[in-house]
Amino acid sequence: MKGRSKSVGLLIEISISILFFSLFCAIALQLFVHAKTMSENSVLKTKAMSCAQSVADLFRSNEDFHDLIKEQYPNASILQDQIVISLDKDMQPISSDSEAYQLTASLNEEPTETGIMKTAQISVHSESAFLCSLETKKYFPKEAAS
Amino acid sequence: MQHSTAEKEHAILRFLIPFLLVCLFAVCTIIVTVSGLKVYLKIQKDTDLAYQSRTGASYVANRLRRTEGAISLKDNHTLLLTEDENGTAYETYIYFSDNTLWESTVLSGSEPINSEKIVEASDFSIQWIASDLLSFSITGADGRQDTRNVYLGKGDLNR
Repeated sequence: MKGRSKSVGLLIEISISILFFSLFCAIALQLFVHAKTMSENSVLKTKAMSCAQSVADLFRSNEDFHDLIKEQYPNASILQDQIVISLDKDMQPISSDSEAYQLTASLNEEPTETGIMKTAQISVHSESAFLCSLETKKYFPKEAAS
Repeated sequence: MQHSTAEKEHAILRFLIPFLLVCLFAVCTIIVTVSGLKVYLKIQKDTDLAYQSRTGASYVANRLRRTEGAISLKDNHTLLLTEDENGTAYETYIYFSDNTLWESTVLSGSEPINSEKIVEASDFSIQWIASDLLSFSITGADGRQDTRNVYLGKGDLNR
């Protein structure tokens, strides 16, 4: 009788241990998944930012921005005040049929008394997620602008 | 006799159930440990790849931006930065050789010696895309390419 109650006690002890262990397992697995997702997002955001910086550097050049975009990103969709470049998950330009992410550059010109301030708002996003955004400006003095 | 058989079965069950529970506990422990290890290795691999491609690309981009002297290309795999320090001209070579990107600063006219390793890569190429724009790409050991355009914003660049 004594041995039986001892084994029942052991069984209850192990069951409780497993119950707690399962609980902590569930929490740990969630944390692992979260860590993995964070790591992937971090890689993606860094790549997106370097891609946006590359486009920003093209904008800052003295050469014509639209011509540079045509040369560097032949599949880009170029409108008067907006440029859209389709990117894959490695942030490499691709044809628009199989797009995963989009880089959008919204262009704006603001005439001032002494020249023109050109602004580009560059953002990288997918249909569901926003990755990064940066704004770059370039000033063209009146003599140079005309 | 019947009573003894039932007791025997009961005894087996008494040991079997805790044993199975301990086994379940062990299996769960292994699953959690393996999952943790997998996540750790994945993060470690991502970090290594980031170092190989993005860190190398960021280093070259910042090296180009902070150069005050002339920037020129010796060939499509070699970048030459010429700077003047207290009246003495120095040349910094950033070049690709033996699957590694190297940097070497020497007196003007000398060949690169005592080069320092920047990063391991499977390819590096650089070219002018405009008078004030350089484009370079570094391909990492995993074959992924990181391409950057760098605006130099200087009027007196050597091409």
